[in-house]
Amino acid sequence: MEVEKRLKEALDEQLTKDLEKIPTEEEIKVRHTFNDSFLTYMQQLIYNERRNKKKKRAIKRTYFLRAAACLVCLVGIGTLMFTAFPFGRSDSTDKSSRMEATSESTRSTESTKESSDTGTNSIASDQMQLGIESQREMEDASKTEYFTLTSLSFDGDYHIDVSVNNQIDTEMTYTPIYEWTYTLNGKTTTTSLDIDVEGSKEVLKSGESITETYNLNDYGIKKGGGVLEIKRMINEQETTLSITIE
Amino acid sequence: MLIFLSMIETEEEKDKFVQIYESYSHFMWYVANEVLWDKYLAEDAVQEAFLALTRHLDKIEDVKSPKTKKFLMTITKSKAIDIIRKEKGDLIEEFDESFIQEKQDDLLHEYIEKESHEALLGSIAKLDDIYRIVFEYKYLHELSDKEIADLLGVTQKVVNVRIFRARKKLQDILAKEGH
Repeated sequence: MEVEKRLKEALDEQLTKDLEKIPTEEEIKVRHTFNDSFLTYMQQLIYNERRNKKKKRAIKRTYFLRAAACLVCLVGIGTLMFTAFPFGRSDSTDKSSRMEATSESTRSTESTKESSDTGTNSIASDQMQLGIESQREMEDASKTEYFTLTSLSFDGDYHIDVSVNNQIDTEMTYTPIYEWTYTLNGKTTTTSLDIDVEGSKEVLKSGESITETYNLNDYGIKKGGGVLEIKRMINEQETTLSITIE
Repeated sequence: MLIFLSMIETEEEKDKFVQIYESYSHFMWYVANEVLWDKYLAEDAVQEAFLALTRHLDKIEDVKSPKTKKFLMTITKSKAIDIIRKEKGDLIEEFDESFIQEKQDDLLHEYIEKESHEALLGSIAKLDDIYRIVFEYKYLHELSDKEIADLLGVTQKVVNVRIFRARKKLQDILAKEGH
C-alpha cells in the first residue's frame, strides 16, 4: 500500500505540473472557438450511442423474453405430460388412487343402494300389496279379508299398519299377533311371542275394525327384501298374513 | 447538448454536466490538441471524452476542484491517444503473458521504495502516455479495472495487460535511473 501511495503522489504531482503549463479557459477561448458543427456532431454521437445501447438492451430483452417463454412452455408441456402419464409415481400412490376410486365407487353404489332402498318403500308397498292380493287368492277369503295390511312406511325403520275388520254380521274374536316369521335369502327367523292366546281374545262387533302399527325393527327387519308372515287367531282360527318386502 | 442531457438521468447530474461543459470544454480541447496537433481531431477527442464522461459523472464530486480537472485531463488525453492509435491502425494489443510475473512486481516495489520522490517523478514523466494514462486511472483516480476498460473502450484483460506493461516500463526506467 505504501508503494501505491507513493505512486499516487508522484502521478498527482506530475499531473499538477502538466496542468500548470495549460492556459486558462478564457485564454484558450481566444485561440479556439468551437464551431456550430461541433455540438451537432457531438449530439449525433450521443444519439448513436444511445440508439446502440437501446438496441443492445432490446436484443437482450428479446432473448430474455424468448427464454422465459420457452421455459414457461416447457413447464406447461412437462406438467401436461406428467398429468397424462404419471411417470415416476410409486405403485402405492397408484394403489391408493385405485382404492380411492373403488371406495368412491362403493360409496356411489351404496348411495345408489340407499336411494334404491328408499325407493323400495313405495315399490315394496306396491309389491306387498300384490303379495297380499296373491295371499288372499290362496287363502280362504272369509278368513283372510279380516286380517289386512293397510299401510307400510319407512322412516329409517319399516312400519306396518295391519287391521282386523269385522265384515260379518256377528261378533268376531281376535288375538294379538303372536308369531313373526321372516325369511330372507333362504334363512328363516321365527319370533314367537309368549302370549296367552285364549286369555287375550278381544271382541270386534259387526262392522268394526281395529288397526295396529308395528315397527319391523323390533322383529329384526331393517332392510327391504324377504317375506314376513305374521299370525294371529281370528274367530278361533289361526290366520296368517304374508307380506313380501322388496 | 439537449441529447447529451437526455442521457443523464438526474437533475443534479444534468447541472453537473452543464457546469463541466461550460468550465472545461476549451481546456479539454487544448489538452487533446497538445497530443494530436490537429484542432478538428482534438474536437473529436473532446466529444469522445464527453461521451465517456456521461457514464461516469458519479466520479466527479466537485466540478471546480483540481481533482476534477485532472480527471478530465486524463480522459481527454486517453481519447486523443485512442485517435492516434486508430489513425495508425495500432489497436491490436499484444498479450505477452511474460509480463505477468510476481517477481517483476516485487522488483518494482523494491525500486519504488528505494528511489527518491524526484526520481519516481522523473520516471513517470518518461513513461509513454498510454501507460501513464492507465496508471492515472488506476492509482490516481482509483478506478476499477472494469471502469477503466469502459473509459478506454477495451476489455478488462487489455487493461490488465496495459497495467502490467506500465509497471514493467516503470521498473525498467527506474532500474536505468538507479544505475
